[in-house]
Amino acid sequence: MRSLLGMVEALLFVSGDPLTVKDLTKATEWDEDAVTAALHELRQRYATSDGGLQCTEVANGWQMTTKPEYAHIVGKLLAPNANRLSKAALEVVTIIAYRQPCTSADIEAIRGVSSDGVLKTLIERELVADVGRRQTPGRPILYGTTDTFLHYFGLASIDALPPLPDDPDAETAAATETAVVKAGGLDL
Amino acid sequence: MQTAEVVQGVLPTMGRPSLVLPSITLAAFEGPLDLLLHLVRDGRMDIFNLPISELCDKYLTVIRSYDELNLHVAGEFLVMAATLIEIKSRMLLPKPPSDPPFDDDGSGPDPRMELVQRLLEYSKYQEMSEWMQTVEGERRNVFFRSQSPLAPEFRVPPQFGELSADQLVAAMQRVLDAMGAGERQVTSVRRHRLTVRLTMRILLTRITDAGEKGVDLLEMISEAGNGLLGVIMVFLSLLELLRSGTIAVAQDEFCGDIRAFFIPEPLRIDWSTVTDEAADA
Repeated sequence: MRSLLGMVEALLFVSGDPLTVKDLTKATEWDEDAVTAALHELRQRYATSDGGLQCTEVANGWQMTTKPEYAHIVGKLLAPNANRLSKAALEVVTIIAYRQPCTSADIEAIRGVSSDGVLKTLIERELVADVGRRQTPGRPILYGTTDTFLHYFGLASIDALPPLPDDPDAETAAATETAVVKAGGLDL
Repeated sequence: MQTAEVVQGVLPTMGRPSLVLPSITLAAFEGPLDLLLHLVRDGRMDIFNLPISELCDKYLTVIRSYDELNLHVAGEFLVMAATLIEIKSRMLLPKPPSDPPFDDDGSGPDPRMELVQRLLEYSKYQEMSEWMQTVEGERRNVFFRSQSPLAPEFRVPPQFGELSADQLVAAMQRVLDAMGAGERQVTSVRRHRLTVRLTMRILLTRITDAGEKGVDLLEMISEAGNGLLGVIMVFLSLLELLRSGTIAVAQDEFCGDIRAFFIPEPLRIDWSTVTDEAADA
């Protein structure tokens, strides 16, 4: 007896890499809604079972991974994959994630320091990639984040990034505004 | 070690032993804005009413505290120092009386404004990069199977437009690898009289003659002749023909034959104009 849930589970198991709903739809020959429903059901089942696996939404797709609770045990058997990103690399990749597509000069303008070396590392690790050229003099290279970026940070999609905080003093500003209004308004 | 002292607000003295490497300490800050933000937070300064004089003094003390400045690293720090001094001096100068009277309280634009904007902007991204670091850490607690070696063979067929240029290059590489490319040693260089233009003409005739049946891609490659160069020529020519809309390709089933068809003039989509427009924009 074959169920869609089973098919989806089998495909995710074999793939290793994240599979998109589209991939699963094509392979199972079911419609996208049914596949999505099956994926959510599967995630739910793994979440409530005491098994060591989970089904997660990542990098515009779905993937089977171990549960974080078992990180310690798995870590005894497997060496951790790659080095963590430096503070500088995290800053640059964050700026690219929010401002993409953006140029090396855009990044430098925000950080106040040249970021080319860091950018090179990020490109080597395939977290960011050349996505085109800006049509301005010099045609500078535009950078954007990749699926590897989403996968590395465990993000379901680029929309999963939390919104950029407003100016840290947005509240203060709002408070000041209220205070001004109370004090008799602005003289404009 | 100097960093620790700076963090505590105790600034190092001038006569430090030479084993202290200033570049390392400066490198602890990701550039001058990072150092400024640190000073602002550490001194609990109001960023909207930045005590520029105090900030400038602190900044300069940190910069001066290094016996020798590694200019490569410190250049940007020195530029910022100059900017701070400029802002400070502009704030000290009395306003020219010619300022229009309706200009707020007569003070004109705040010289600190630009710097404050930059600091605020940068601090936003710093805040988010801390979030990213947390997420990165959480992600490292999760393990997944490495891709199985057979995975590329079993990929679900992509829809038109789903393939990136990289994947196309990878596909081409597979064809070339199958032909033994890369194993050859060049012992002599001959001039080939094969051009993309010529190959395009040959292919187009072949495809037009085939009519509705179309021509199989592998057939075209095997007929190419001229070994590796022939395959590359066929590949480039097909891309050119596709781009000009002269031909179209179709694949009926997954892993099935890829066939090229001739497209009569009125039905063509001129891809070249599409891309040119995009490039001009």
